[in-house]
Parts: sequence; structure tokens; C-alpha cells
Amino acid sequence: MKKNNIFSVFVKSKSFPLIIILLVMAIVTMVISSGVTAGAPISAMFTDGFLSKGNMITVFGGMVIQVVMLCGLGCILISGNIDLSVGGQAALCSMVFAWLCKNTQMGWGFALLLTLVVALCLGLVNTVLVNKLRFPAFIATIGMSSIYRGLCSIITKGNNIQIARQSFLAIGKTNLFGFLPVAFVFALVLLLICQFMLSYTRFGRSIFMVGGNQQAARLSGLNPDRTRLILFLLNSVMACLGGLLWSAQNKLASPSSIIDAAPDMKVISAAILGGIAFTGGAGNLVGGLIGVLLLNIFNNMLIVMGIQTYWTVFASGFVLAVALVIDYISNERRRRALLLASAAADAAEAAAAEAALNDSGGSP
Amino acid sequence: MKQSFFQKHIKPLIQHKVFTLVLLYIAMVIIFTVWAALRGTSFLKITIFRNILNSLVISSFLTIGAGCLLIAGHMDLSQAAIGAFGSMVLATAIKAWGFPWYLAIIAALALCAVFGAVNAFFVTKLKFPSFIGTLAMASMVKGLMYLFSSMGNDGVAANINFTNKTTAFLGTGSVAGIPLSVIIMVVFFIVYGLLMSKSAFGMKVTLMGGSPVAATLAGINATAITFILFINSAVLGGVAGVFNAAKLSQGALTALTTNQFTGITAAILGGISFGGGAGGMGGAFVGLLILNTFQVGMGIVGVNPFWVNVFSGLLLLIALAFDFLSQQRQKRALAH
Repeated sequence: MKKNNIFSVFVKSKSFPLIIILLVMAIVTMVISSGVTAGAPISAMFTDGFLSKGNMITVFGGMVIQVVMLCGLGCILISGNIDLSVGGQAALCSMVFAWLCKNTQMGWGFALLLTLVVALCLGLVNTVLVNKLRFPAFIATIGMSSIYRGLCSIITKGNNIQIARQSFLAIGKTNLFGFLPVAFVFALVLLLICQFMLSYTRFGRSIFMVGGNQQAARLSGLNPDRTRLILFLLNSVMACLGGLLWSAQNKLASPSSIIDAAPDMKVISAAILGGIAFTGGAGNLVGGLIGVLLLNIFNNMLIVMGIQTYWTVFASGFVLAVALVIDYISNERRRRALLLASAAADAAEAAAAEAALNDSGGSP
Repeated sequence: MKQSFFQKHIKPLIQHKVFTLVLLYIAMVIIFTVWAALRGTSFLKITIFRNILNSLVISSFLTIGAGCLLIAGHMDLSQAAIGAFGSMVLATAIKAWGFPWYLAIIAALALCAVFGAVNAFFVTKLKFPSFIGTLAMASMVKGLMYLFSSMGNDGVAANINFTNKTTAFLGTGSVAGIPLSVIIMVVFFIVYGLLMSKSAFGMKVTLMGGSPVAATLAGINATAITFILFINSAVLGGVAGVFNAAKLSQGALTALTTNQFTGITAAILGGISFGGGAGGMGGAFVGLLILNTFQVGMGIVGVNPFWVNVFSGLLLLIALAFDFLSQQRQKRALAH
């Protein structure tokens, strides 16, 4: 019998090859970017270049908005839906927040609450479109995204809004141990909470049912519409928090910078890379997180190593393709192992049946 | 039982999905006409409709390619990037390599076909989900395009201007008062429309989109069809790129960048179902017409550009609502 301990589960998990790639790449980058090849001492590998504190802050800080969005969007994908308006929602929410901070005297905590209410309304709009009117989520959310983008520019006539609340900005500025942004830790906590919900609550398990086979889920007494409602609300709140954390880091609300970076596409790529099925019903958020880490760290490595930007554009697509190929290979291996196992089981069964036949034939 | 003329010919026409879209289009034209009249300009003019058709050309090729793929249940997000590379190749071939115009176009489209084949290989052999596989492809193609255009230019990627009489005529010339590119576009729509609705190939594609398993069991070679469709989509992306380059006499790095979703959006708007298995080219054309008339109309009545985003989002939702209503009506008709 094989031991089913944590280690073997980890080795067999879908993300394992991705993590190995990430580690190998990290070592290569550490060596090249720290100048060890150019004669610097070995210890420089851990203090300069890729692993330097400044760079770590850049890497982790840059993916905060994606990790937070992944919490909501990952669940949406698992439930078999899609939302391409999270970028627009994040932009609009951060805009509303910045506007409130600038033009009113209210504390930023209260402004945050109001913004969350706005986010819930945006989620509700998506739900009405998908649940009540049965619009395809893909195209309906593209439409909503366009509307949000327009609303953002209408609020400010196309400008950005600076945020000057120091206690709010501190969230984006503070770093733990000098290299880990607090905002990233906050994003991780959110992700773990959502993962807990997915794995260990009735509602979480029902998301997989709805995503795997909606008809079957409904026939077995679940309510897919209610699941979607909750998920879209969760998604909008997460998009809102992501946008606000981005604003805290950059000290302003800038719809065009958020939307043009296409965080939704990046998050969806990362999620699928991390094993969340695009058609729903499978995956987990931790895998998605590994996908986000992989894409962002890889991008950063290319920058740190000083590779021409044209190559980085190519490479960001290439790494996606490579990761998908690895996924394919591991799937194939598993399928073949299953086939072999079932063939062996069949053979054993046949042998047993034959033996039984011989026994009965031999006895008088 | 003998059917009356109304039941035989008019009723199916009214119940057709495209009919509601045409109604929406007419409503839109009326609204713009009145709105423009209130603003003291006029909307219902030949020149304006010629502008609309002109603006349609480039996205129409993307829509045809995306539409065929969507009917088969796949998606191609790399179309625009591939087309941009195609326009870059065309410009370089004419300017730097001294190719005659037809060879340059063939070179551009051949390259696009290769990318399409790679897409199909990803999706059929390596089982990538087409959404993410083509997204990865888009990024790779974009990077390659930058590298390609920076090669002849001391490592800096830049737009390439070229002069060629024939391509300029292709992009901006007109025959008997109708722009040549518009004529070509209409021919493409008719050919693909017939191909998808009347030919055995089109039936196979629709069947494949409706149920891949059933299609395989019925003896349809899904892999071959997927290859054809992805190559077709990439080549049509290339055609869009060629027309873009021909119109501007320039291979532009940012060509088609705003069009990543245009093809898919127009196709879905025109009633091609997102999951595959339904829809046709006529609807896709009307969908595209609605999108572009709207853009042009907004410009003519002088709407604040900030509001254009909002309105075009709303337009998408209204079109979806129309679709919803017509489906409801059909369901009720079936229930009776």
C-alpha cells in the first residue's frame, strides 16, 4: 500500500510540476541577477538582484490586486461562470472611494463601507443579468465592463484622483520584515478564508456541484441561482478590495491604469494555469495562487535579468503554453496509469473467475 | 393541411433570430436620425452609410473567422495579434524585401496560417482550453511581432510605412462608387454564409459545436475540422491586418489592438451561441452593423466620448435583451 501522507499528496498534486519549474527558474535568476557569474561572492545571491528586498516588495506588491481578485473570480470559474468586468469594477470602486475621500470629510473607514455597498450593487447587477435575464455571462460582463469604464471617466472627466489619507496609504506602504508588503499578507489571508469556504463548508462543496453539472445540482436540491448570486456578490466585494489595495499602494485611483493592465485576463490565465477548470467544477484557489505567483515572478525575473522587453512579451505567453503542456503531460500520465490499473484489475478478475471455474469443474 | 402564404414564408422570417436584430437596427437608425435632426445635423445620408460600411471592413473579417470557430464551440483570442503581425509582414515584404504586392500578401497570410495551425495543434493535440491557449498565443505572437519589426531597425520596434499603388487601391479605392474593400467584404460574407448554412462542411461544423461526442460518433473528423477552422480564423485575421495596412499604407504595431473581442462580440450579438452549435453569418453581419453604426452615430450626434463607453455597453445589453425576448416568445409558441 502506498502511504497517503501530505508529501505524496503534494507530489501528486497538479501544481507540483509548476512549483518545481518556479524553483529552478528562481535559482537561475538568483545566480544571474546577483552578478555571481561576474565575480560577486556567493552570498550576494541572497541579498542582491532577484532576492533583494526592494525587488521582493515589487513582486509581491504587484500581485496583490490579482490575488484578491482570484478569491472571487476563482470561485466564479469553479461554478462554471465567468466575469470579465472585475477590472472595471475594481476601477470604479477605487474611483468612488477616492472621490469620497477627496470631496467629503468622512473618515476613510466609512468611505470604505460605502464603497463596499457600491460593490455589492455592481455584483447584484451582474446577477440580475445572468440569473434573471439568462444573458451569457461572458458577453454581458464585457458590456458591463465597458459601462464601468465610461462611468469612471465621467466621474473625473478622464483624470486620476489622488488620495491623501495617510492612515489609508499606510496599508500600501508598510512592509513586514522589510520585504513582505502587508497588503500581500492581507490578500493571502482573504485567499485562505475563501479556500476554507470552498473546501470545508456545505456552500463551498455546492459550488463544485453547480459547476460540474448544473442540471444535476438542481435536481439534487441545490439552487444554482442562489449560488451564483452569492458568488457574484463575493466576486464584486473582492474586486472592490483589490482596487482599493491597488489605490493604497499607488496613492491614487486611476481607472485606466487598472483596466489597461487587464487584471481579469491575468487572473483567469493564472487560475486555469493553477488547475481551475475553465468550464467549471474543478480546481482550488491555492492552485490559482501558484498560477499567479508563477506568471508574476517569471515576468519579474525577465525584468531583473535585464532582458529586452520584446522578449518578455513573448515569454509571458510562452510560459503559459509551457505550463499548459506540462499539465497535459501529467494528465496523460495519470490517464495511462488509470488505464493500466483498470486493465490489471480486469486481468486479476478474469484469473480469479477462471480459477473459480476450475475449482467447481474439478470438484465432483 | 395547406399553409397560407403568411404561415409559410412570413412567419418563419419574423420568428428568425436575425429579424429582431434587424428591428433593433432600424430602431437605432430612427433614433439617430431624430437625435441628429435635433442637433441640427443629419444622419440619414449616403456618405454616412458609406463611412459605416468602410469602418466595418476590418472587423468583418475577424467576425467571420471568430463566428465560424464559435459555431464549432471554440474561441480564438489571438486573431487580432496574428492580424497585426500579418500587416507588419506585408509592410516589410513590400518595403525591405522588394516583394510585389501579391507575393507580399501571400507571405503575410501564409505566416498567419502557420500561427493558426499552431493554435489548432494546441487545442486538438495538447488539449489546451481554446480560451487560454489562444491567449498565450496572442502574447507570443505580439512578442514575435515586436522582435520581427525591431530586426531591421537597430533593435527598436517601430511602425513601417510603405508605398504601393495596388495595396493603396485595395484599401482606399472604389469601383463604381462603392469602396473595393466593402465589395470584397460582402463577397466574403456571402461565400461564408453559404458555406456555413448550405454545405456539408457547414453542417458538420454546426453538429460538432452542438455535441462533439455525437459528431465523432457520426464519423466526423473533429480534429481536421478544428484545424481548418483555426487556420481559417488566423488567415482571416491576416486579411483584416492586410486591409488595415493597405488603408494606412503602414504596418502598425498597434494594428487591431482594440479588436481582440470585436469579432467574438459581434458574432455573439448576431445570435451565434457562445457554447457552439447555433448561428449563422447573416446574424453576425447584422451584429457587426449594429456595433459600427452605433459608434459612427455617436460621433455624428456629438456625444461626449466618455459616455460612448457607457452607451456601447448598454447597447450590448439591449441586444442581449432582444435575444432574450425572442427566445421567450419562441418558448411560448412551442408551449402552445
